[in-house]
Amino acid sequence: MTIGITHLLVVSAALFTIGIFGLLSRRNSIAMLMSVELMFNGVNIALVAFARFGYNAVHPLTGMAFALFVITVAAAEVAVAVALLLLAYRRHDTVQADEFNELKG
Amino acid sequence: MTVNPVAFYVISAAVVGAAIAVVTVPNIVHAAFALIACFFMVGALYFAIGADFLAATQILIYAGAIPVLIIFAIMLTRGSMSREGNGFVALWPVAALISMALAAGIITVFAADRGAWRSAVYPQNLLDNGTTETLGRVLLNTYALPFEVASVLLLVALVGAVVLARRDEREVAMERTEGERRARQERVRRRREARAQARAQRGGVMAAVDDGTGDAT
Repeated sequence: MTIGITHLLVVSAALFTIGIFGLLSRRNSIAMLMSVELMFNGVNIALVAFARFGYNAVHPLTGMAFALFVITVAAAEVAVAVALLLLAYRRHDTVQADEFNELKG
Repeated sequence: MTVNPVAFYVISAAVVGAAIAVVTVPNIVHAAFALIACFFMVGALYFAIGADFLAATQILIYAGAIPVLIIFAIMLTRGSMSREGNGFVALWPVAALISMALAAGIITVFAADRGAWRSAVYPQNLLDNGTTETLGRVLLNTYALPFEVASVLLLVALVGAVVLARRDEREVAMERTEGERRARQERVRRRREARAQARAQRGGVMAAVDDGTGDAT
């Protein structure tokens, strides 16, 4: 059986939903950030799979170019998120997401 | 033209296994190392299907730079390496159910055979010579504007991270005197005790009361 687009999309879906599970179930903000990175990777696999197996001769490799942009944005996002986490840690002395509850009425 | 099935299945099993380890391992440092392994394996998956430039980028940025930032965050925050600082929410079975339902939905959509997703045959020269040249042409011709905007975004993120993480002068001046510093530590300690008390009242495990000596900077 040859490996086709469906195989890669299943891996992509698995990675994305594992990331969703981590985001919903972890209490540590840093672990939640790692889960978001897993979700980014799941989406990237899908984009690369579309570029590889759904080749378009007019716009070649658009999916791979988009995956590169996703990687760029993810790098910027992690830098800002780590800075925000350190700021929140300095103010609250914790990184537990359920203890950032100052806005709770 | 075809992907080696053995390589694909081995790499995919490693990707999914490492990802599951990231979200389930209680020790967050182990989870970070599992994250590195997962990103390396995703890079290997890109190699296996012939996306060579993207594989190199994945290993450079995702397996190299991003875990370093995350490990820095882990090391700089006290309490995230302790066991009680790494719990799961009480409703984690609901989270598991939601993600499994989502996985079932997505896989159902993806498993349906769609001929439109195979519009043309992948050209042999991209497999022989690599994708770098074509990708470079695409990025600098069709997507030149997004390419430039991405560089501005990186600059903005750099400046934003510096502005957010640096301590402002008021904060530094406030702590110049020893008394102020001690008052701040006392405030942090009181807040932490109040949190521990609230947690005990909720019926959870009584959190170990920290000694409160470390300066939270």
